[in-house]
Amino acid sequence: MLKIKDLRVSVEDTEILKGVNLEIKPGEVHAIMGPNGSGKSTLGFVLAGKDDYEVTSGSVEYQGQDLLDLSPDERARDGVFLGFQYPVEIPGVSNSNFLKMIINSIRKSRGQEELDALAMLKLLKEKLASLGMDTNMLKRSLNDGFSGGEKKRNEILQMAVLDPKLAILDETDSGLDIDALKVVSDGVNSMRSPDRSFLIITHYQRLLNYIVPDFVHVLVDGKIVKSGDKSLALELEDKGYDWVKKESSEVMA
Amino acid sequence: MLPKYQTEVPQHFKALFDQLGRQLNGQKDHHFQELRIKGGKNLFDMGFPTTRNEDYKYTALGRVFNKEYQLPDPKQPGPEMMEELRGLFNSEMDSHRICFYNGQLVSELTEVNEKGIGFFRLSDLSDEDLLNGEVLKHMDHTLSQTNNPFLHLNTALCREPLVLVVDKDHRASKPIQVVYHYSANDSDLIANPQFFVIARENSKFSMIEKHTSNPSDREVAVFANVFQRWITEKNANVDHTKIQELSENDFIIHNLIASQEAHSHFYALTADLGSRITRNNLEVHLLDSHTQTDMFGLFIGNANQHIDNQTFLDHAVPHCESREWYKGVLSGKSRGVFNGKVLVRQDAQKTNAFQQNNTLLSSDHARMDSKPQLEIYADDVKCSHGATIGQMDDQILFYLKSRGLDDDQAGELVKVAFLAEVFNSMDEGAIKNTLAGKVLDKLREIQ
Amino acid sequence: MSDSMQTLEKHTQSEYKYGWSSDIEMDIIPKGLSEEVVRMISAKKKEPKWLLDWRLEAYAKWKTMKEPNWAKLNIAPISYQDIIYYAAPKKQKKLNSLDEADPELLKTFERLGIPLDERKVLAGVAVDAVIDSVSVTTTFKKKLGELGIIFCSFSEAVQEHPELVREYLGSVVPQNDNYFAALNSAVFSDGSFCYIPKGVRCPMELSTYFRINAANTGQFERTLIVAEDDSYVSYLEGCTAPMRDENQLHAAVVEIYAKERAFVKYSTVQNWYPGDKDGKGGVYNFVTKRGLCNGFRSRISWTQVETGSAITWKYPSCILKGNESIGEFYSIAVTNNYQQADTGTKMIHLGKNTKSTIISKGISAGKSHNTYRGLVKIGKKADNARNFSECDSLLMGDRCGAHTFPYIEIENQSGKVEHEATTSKIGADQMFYCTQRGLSVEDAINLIVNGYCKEVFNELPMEFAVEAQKLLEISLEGSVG
Repeated sequence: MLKIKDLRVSVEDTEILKGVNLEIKPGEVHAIMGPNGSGKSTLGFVLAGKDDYEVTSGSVEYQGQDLLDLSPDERARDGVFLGFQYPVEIPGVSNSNFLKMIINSIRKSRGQEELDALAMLKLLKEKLASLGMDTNMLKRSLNDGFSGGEKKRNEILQMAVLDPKLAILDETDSGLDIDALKVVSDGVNSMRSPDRSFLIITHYQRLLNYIVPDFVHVLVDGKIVKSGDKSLALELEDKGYDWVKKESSEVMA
Repeated sequence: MLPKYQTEVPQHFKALFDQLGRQLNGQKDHHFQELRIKGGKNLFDMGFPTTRNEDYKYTALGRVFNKEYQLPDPKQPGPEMMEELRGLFNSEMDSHRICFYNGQLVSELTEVNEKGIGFFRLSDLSDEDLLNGEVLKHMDHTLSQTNNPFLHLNTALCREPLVLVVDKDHRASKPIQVVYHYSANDSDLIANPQFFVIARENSKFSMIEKHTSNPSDREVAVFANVFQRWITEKNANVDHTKIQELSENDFIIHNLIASQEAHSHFYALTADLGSRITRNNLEVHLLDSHTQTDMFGLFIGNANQHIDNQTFLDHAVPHCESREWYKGVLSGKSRGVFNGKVLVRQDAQKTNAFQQNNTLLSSDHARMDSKPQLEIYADDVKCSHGATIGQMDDQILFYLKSRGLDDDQAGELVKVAFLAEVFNSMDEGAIKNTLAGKVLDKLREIQ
Repeated sequence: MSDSMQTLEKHTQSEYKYGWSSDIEMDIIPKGLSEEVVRMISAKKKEPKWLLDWRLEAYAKWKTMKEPNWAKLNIAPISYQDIIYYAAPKKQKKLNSLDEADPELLKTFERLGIPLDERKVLAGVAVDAVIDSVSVTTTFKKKLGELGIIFCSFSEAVQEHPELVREYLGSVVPQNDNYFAALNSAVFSDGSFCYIPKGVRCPMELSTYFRINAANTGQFERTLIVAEDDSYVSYLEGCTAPMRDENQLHAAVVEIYAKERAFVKYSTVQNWYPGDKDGKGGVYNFVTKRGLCNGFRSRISWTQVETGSAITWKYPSCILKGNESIGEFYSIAVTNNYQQADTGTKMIHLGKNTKSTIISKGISAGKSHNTYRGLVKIGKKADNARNFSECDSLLMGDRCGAHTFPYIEIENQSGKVEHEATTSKIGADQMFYCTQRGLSVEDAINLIVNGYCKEVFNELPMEFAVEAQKLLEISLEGSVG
């Protein structure tokens, strides 16, 4: 599904990612953990194609093609979804209108028929209900004035309706209380399938109690310094990031 | 080309110009005299503006132009006045001192003795002096570019320009306190001080400037027409606070033009508490990137005061930041005018400009005219402006009174709170304390 | 001769080349302006003497006035003697089928989603017949008549309701109000008249859309709306489709007179020919629009979507004379290529407890210039007046300009005025968010721009809003580099 090889990325001449290697196979759930400033969010943005991130070397192969060659919207239509840590507010654009547009835009690119108003409403209502969201939020402006929790649920809602192949969730747990965290995790878990992969970026282990990963990687200072299974996350929770930092510098030395 | 204004300059200004020419004859022949003569010519060609001119729409200056002014006496003030002048300095502030009486330097009360800070009469510099050439060149350029007739008037009637230079890498050890005092006794008086300030590369200093005049139990008026030209070189950091407290029949037109080189920071605070008519023309030109410009203003008017703030900020280069915030309280029959223009030229990408004017009207007859303007030719910018005009919030007043404050106390608290952003922009210290004290006095006076 | 005149001439000549000249029937008078011309116009319209005198008075005043010289507009000089002041009614060229119409025009209609019948109207096919079937006036005249509502062409009103026209003409916009209003007062060709009697709520939206199109009287039209106590009307004006206006100068006057508790809502979607990509041609749209809230709680609301014209100069205004009267101004002005728009409003608060709201959204693209210029004035006696203004500008491209010149004049301490303005480009974060969800760059821009204009679209009648949104998209097409 996704093969990242020696990926180096700079922002305004500062190197953030310093040679990341990662392979994600269909159906796998990978978690990237790391302290603040380690480059976790950068990895998500680069995979989704945000400007301002300069790939200085390395490659990213997605479903057999060069992902870095594609524009953000092409990546999205090919099934790459990024759940934002800070979802953007767009005043004046209604949530429902936005959802309709993105659903039909993706359907069109997949050669599917565009949904009519009725089918659209049915789909949205169904997904809203499963995420415990009020239909009222369809009428509101996109993320405008949403609480932190509402924004994150809205991201999961978009993921649910877009049916991506690779979902990257950037700090989806931040700003959520326990109830919301559970709803969001249920949403993600219900979407787990053999042909869909997840890359979950998180600072804390707590999300991983709900979404159990197949692999856990620790990103420190732009490099994956340690990989393991879900128990690594628990170990991190216990010992903190200093432990891996120390260990990795010893390895380097 | 010079613009043409509607009114011709009255004849008595011409007489003053000729009179000063005669007085200066026989003195050292200095290049400034060429500039002075040019200023006179430009002034008489241009004329004075009327309210039909857009930039003077809300400020009629006929009352100012029609008086027959006398030039100040070139002699140094007598001992009594010396004492009075000395008392005008804030003695609690450890500072350098510069004193102007009727627009002319009082050497006895001027003390700028710090290595790295130079203070000169332009006429004391020799023709060969590089600084002399530099100042004259800048002045000539500024005068040839401006459509402001008061710069020409100032130059035409200025006896001796002063020059302050803070050397490269020099950080001033203490602020510079400048007192401008005016005194009209038997006749109307016009004063035209000209001050050239250069902050060299990587220098830093702050200046507090005060304008006062003799008490208003007199028929005659003072007209202070001040001109300051500030150059802030690369990475220089200057901080300028002006407090104007002229008596209630006096006029002041305060002209300040600053230019900023890369990474420089220019902070200007204009506080107007006194005078009959105040007109501030504040212009900042950004010559290179990564500058920071702060223009703060505070005005409190009562009785028949008229306070007009005109500002112009020229974003000509990319990556510069500016903040402009003018706040005022108007009572009695006073009038306030704010006309702030922010120009963002095509090359000035990544400009970040903020402009705000808020005015509190606290009487039935006060009036405010505000015109915050944005003129933007670059697309990757963040610019915003705003203006509010209104009276004190009844609910807040009621709340305060319900907690036991009387009307005056509550009103004062609200007004002080209203002016907070301006004070918050200042560094803690003597300058801020001085201003806060004066503002509080004035607020109490207008209640 | 100015560039735009030359372009117009070329445009006309090319039509002649296709052999349509024999089809055009025109009732025109020689070009140029003189007292004689004013008399001729009045005579052709069989006007009463008082109206001729009124025109002549306006002409005399116009002659003494100076053409304004605007700081922010770059205008090729207008030769007032080269203009034909009476070319109406000019019959449309009759085409046998749509195939004969300008294909580019048809393409635009298609994108606008205008029904085929309407497309035919707009393209000038079988105009007479279709006009009748869609004309609000004709279709609903009977129903409106039962309610006592008068809605007819200005010329008709002069003949049928001279007392009303005489009473209100020039009562809100005096003859000598400004240079172009004076010109209009002297030579106005036609326009609409609308009268809503006391207590009547007009049950449908009134539109001048087709009539003006059909009669081709677009150059100096005059609209007069009178709303008696407790009445309501929503009035739509303009063309919602691009049209090749042959007139270089469009100097209209709109007057609204609202009495006690009357509410007049006036919506405009302006899309006159903006000139070509190089700035050649296009209409000079110099319009004076003003409403007088002359009674207790009267209310006038202006909504405009301005996408056309080479140069737009208009400030729909409200004089809030009645106590508790309300003025509103909602505007979207889009400029692209070499267009220039200088628009805004004047809210003059004279009565107590008066309120005004100003929402202005400017969008500049290409090499265009877009200026908001507005005045909020609170007079000495206007106790407790309130104004809120929000003027935002969006820049698309680094060759355009966006300017905001608000004038705020407050003479009453109990007034409360708030003005806010921002200028920015479309946020990179918003763009990335939308494209990350699979939207193309163009779709993302349209979405964000539409969202940005939402507050104004909300003020438009539903159908109008949909068309206005599409217009916006067309206007901005190709503006994204």
